Amino acid sequence: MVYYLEQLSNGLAIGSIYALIALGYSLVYSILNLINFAHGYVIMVGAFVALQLLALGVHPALAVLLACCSGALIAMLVERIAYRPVRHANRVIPMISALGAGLVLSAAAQLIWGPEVRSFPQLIPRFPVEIGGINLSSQSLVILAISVVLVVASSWFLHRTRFGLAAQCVRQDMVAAQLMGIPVNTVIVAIYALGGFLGVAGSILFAMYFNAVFIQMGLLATTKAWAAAMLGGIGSFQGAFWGGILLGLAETLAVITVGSAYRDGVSMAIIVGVLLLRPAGLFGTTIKERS
Amino acid sequence: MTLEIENLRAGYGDRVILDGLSMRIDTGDRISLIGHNGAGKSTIIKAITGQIRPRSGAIRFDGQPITRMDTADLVPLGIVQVPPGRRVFPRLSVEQNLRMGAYTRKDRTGIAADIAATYDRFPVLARKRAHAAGTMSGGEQQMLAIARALMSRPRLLLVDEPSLGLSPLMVEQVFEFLGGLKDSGVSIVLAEQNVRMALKVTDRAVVLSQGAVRSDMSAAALLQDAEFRRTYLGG
Repeated sequence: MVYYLEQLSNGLAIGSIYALIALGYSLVYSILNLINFAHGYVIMVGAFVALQLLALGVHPALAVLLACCSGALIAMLVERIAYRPVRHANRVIPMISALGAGLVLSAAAQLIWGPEVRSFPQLIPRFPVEIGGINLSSQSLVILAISVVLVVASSWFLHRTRFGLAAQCVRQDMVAAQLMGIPVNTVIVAIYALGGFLGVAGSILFAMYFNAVFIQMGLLATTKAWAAAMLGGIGSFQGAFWGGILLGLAETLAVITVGSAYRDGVSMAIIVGVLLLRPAGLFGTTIKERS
Repeated sequence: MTLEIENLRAGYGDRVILDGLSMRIDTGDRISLIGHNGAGKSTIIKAITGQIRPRSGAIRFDGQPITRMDTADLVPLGIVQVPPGRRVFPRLSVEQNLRMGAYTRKDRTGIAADIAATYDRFPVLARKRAHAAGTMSGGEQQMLAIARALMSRPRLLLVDEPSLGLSPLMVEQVFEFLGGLKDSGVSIVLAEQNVRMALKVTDRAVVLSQGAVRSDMSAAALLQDAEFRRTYLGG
């Protein structure tokens, strides 16, 4: 029992990382109904930026913050270059241009940092924490805390501020939002930036947790965050968060019951399961209009 | 306030809808745009609000050219549209919808006062202020859509097909409200299939034909016109 509880904290930590990354998808999807296929690559580059800054001797806190901002900046560039020109085109076209942007980012990262898997410095001091006879790792607790703070802050930003309300208007009716004088393009760019910022925070925690930074983590993180976003209900803010947490717990459960080789299969199974059983996800809702 | 449209050509793709249209709107004008389907009523509104790019011609607001401006940038100037089909923000509350109507304003006390005034005028909106707008009836949503547009304190209000999808009773109420805006001094351009209702709440009638203005006269004079009565009112 104690063992399971200890593992539970690991599951929560990794789940909260998935949640941060999944938010990048859900935020963009909720507004544009577009799958942001470049997201995984943007946050991979962000993790490398963090690694690079740390190697240059930048203070860790500053390095992480700058890397998150670089993620926001790259996401804004991707929006401007790969999405905005084709926003009103057939849905397949932005998908392809996003994949193209992802390939460019991936190739650029490989040119700059090389194809090898790099280890990532442990910025969070690791020591056992004992709570009520259960040994938890300090790392898991800190990761969980950081994620929850970021998610709560973003949620407040999106639901309680004037800008957040404007973003909801753009999401619900882009044309009407424009008619109210809401600067739709600015709102969309800001949403991409927020997704990039949170996503890089997630990818840095991911790199720390697995002690690895590599080019393919873009694709790996994409798959997992995508599964999390779908499980929670794509487009829903709460859905992305709880989907991430549930995926982390499910993976951890798979690791301790059938073995760690099955970790990465869980997200695939979830994608298939959600599509078959409940395509709207756990938190996906629709609102009916009276006539 | 003066809005001048000069020799406007506009359309969609290969289709030219407005072909050399010119007209002028002054402060307090209340204008009905009259014409058959496809005559260009909505196209005029879309051109004024920057939702379509005219091919040629000019639109000037108080002398300033606005032909190529973005829709959102026209709101602070005082040009605002009530879109066809209402398009309230369905998941925002009634009050949040009203607040978003005032998005370009910064005067908090003025906004609060205008919301209070809206509630006085429409008790139903006050009663449902915390409800999601999408759960209200079509007529209530239309009231909200107009009230939301007025929250920006427009100088020119463009209303496109307010009767769309509403029951006759609701149409009556919506037009009563539009008629009541007379004293507020806001200029109104109304594009409405229900000509009889439209002419009741406007003073001036601009009849469109083949993409240009066919006649421009007082609503009362148009109602006396035999040909108009035959074509639009059925005798």
